[in-house]
Amino acid sequence: MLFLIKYGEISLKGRNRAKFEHRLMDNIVRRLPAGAARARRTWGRLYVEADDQHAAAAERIIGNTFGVVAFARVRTYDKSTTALDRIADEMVAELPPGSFKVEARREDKSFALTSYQIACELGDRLVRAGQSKLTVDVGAPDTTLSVEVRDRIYAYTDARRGPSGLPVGVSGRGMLLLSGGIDSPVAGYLVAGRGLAIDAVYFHSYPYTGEEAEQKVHQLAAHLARYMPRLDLHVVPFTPLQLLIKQRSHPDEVTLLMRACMMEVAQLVALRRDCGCLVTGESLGQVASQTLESLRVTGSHSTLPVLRPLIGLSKEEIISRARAIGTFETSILPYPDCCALFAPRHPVIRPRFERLEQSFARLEAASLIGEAADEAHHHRVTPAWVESAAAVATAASVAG
Amino acid sequence: MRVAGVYLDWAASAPLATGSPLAAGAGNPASTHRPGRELARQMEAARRSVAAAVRRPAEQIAFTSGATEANNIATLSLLTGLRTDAPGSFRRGLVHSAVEHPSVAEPGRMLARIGLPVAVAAVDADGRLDLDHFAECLDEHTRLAAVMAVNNETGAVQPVAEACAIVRAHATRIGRPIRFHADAVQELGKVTLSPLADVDSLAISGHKLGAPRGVGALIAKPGMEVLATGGGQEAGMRPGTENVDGIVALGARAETIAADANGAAQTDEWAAVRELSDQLIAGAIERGLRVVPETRLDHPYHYSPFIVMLSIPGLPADVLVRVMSDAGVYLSRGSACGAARSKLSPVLVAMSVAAEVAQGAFRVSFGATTRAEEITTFFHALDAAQAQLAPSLSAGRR
Repeated sequence: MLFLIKYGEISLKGRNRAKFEHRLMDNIVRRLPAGAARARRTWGRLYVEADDQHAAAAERIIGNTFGVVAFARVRTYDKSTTALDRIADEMVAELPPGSFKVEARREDKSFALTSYQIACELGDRLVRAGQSKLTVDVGAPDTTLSVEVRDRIYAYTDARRGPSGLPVGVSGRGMLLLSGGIDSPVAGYLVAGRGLAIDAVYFHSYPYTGEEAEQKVHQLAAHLARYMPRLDLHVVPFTPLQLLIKQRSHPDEVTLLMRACMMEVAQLVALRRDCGCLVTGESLGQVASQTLESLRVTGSHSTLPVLRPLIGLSKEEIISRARAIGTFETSILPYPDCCALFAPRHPVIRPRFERLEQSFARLEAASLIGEAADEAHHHRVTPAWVESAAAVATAASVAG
Repeated sequence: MRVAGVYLDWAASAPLATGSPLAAGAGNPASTHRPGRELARQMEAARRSVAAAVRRPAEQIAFTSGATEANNIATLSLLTGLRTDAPGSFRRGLVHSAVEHPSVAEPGRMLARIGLPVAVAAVDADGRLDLDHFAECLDEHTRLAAVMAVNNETGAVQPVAEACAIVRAHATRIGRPIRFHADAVQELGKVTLSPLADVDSLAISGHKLGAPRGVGALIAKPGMEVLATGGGQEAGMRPGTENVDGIVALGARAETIAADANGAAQTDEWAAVRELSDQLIAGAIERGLRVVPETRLDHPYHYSPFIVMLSIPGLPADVLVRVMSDAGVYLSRGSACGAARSKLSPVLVAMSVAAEVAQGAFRVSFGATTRAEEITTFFHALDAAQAQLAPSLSAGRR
């Protein structure tokens, strides 16, 4: 099965274009079993040829690959004079009864017919072959048959939209602070759509949070992994730091100091994984630790840039995005990622920076921060495809 | 069958009894052919055993998937009389205690949403039904009352006989019958069933008695209409092909209970388990734990010795349950995690237990084979757990 892929934004990127195109092809092909698909680029399009056994998996992967603006299953024809007859013969069966139009595009100007002529000639043949089941409507057709004359002639009906954006990896790599909540998976999705490859870090405080909470994060990561060629999850044992903070700090500052420690641990793990930034799900003013003053405190604990793609989104907007990418239902499972024991009743909302820095210094947490990063448990995440057996096979091969 | 480690969560589910039988043969007990008849015969034998154990006629036993289904059938029976063209038909009221299992309380909420009058009778701080308030809740519309026999969280033995008598007197006054339903899950095989002699329907669960999970029974005097319909199995009370294997195993367990005709074995077991719960409570107090409710200490006989609720105030119970589980001691938490009042156990909230105590509440429950050494192991594990968790409880800088 051959897929034609249109890509948008990356064609704007001048000298980097070839690099971006290769990344896009690679992001599709490497998620399928070795040898199951080949990709090539020519004349402003990408083509992925997948063997029949993996066609469904390839289609699903293409539809979830950032950089893909639209894609379709296509048939190809030689650029001979009889091509239109053969297209009509084959496509008449694919067009559902009703109205249609032909959209022709002639990139190869040496082809004998103009775009307009192709549309007219092919439309005429199809109406005749369709035996009154097919009518032409160029205004609002039920189906559009696209014909593109390039190195060969490509014909397809139902083109579908991809997620657009930039191919994952072209913008470098970032470390996502992934909790069990609604926000952080959405943050990861958004930056992946800007071409950032992602590792995720989760802070686990067993026995204060349960195995269910960690399982939930694995599930969220598996949802997120559908949109990227690879996702690695680092589970950091956070209990020693959590206890240290509890013992050495004022209860009202516990959350903020905890987040400061998380940033430091995340940065250590990030640097080892060659990440150029941290990514968080913070949204301005959403909770006490996300006020401007609090963000200054937590942000000062990373020398890497901290990307906060949700910073200007409302909770409603974040929820609607979480639903769209399929993480919402998992995020609202009732397994808290922070034990009530460590949640202050009156968290500080407008911390004084200098005061918090003193509090942080009093923790003397450096060695525990280093240990937490050293002991992070690394998992390669298997994407949570839900549809078919072929998908399971794909997921398994990716995990391998 | 024993659970590896120290299993103190019998109120959640008892280990499968040794030698638990399966139904012999394939087929559907509704079939006319020989294998089908054979299954039906085994099922009827089990029905007679259950009947003997609960001291009711066999015709009143309808096998279900468990007590949740039995409680739902009984509670939602109120819906069968509703008619949209007769607004009066919606005045069919339910009164239930504030400490019912969710399989009664949730159907109750559903009835209330539909517009039926549902009243929740308060309990005292001791977790037992406030009979005065219960009587106040009854009105001219009441058609069903539900009070569980033994509370599954606190072990509080409810005054079912007294509540039932109040209902009977009220029914006479208003000149309409009121059915009385009792969830007997934590009672059958553990506490004598005689106080339940007068109730109209009972729910029991197989896996709390050593039968497999997935079987139970609704025991109902004639006249209960039911919502679910289908193939007419179980005299129309519970449509659907019966879980014959589960039923046969439940029958075997019931036989053991029924054989104890004068309750002698039960009395012995009760006394033995009473010693265990006394040992547990004494050890808990020694270590500064709270017994929930504290009135249990003054009136131990108001509580099933098979269930003891304790609390370490301020330590979320799910944290303790995890650490104990890692040490091979299996308990249940009393409330879901979180400081929010909405996440606390509704039973403990109804008893006005302080939030900190409710948050730390966990349940220890015993079975016939629980031994004193297991309580000792429990305390060793508890001491270690408290030492491990202490740093998380100490306050930080002020």
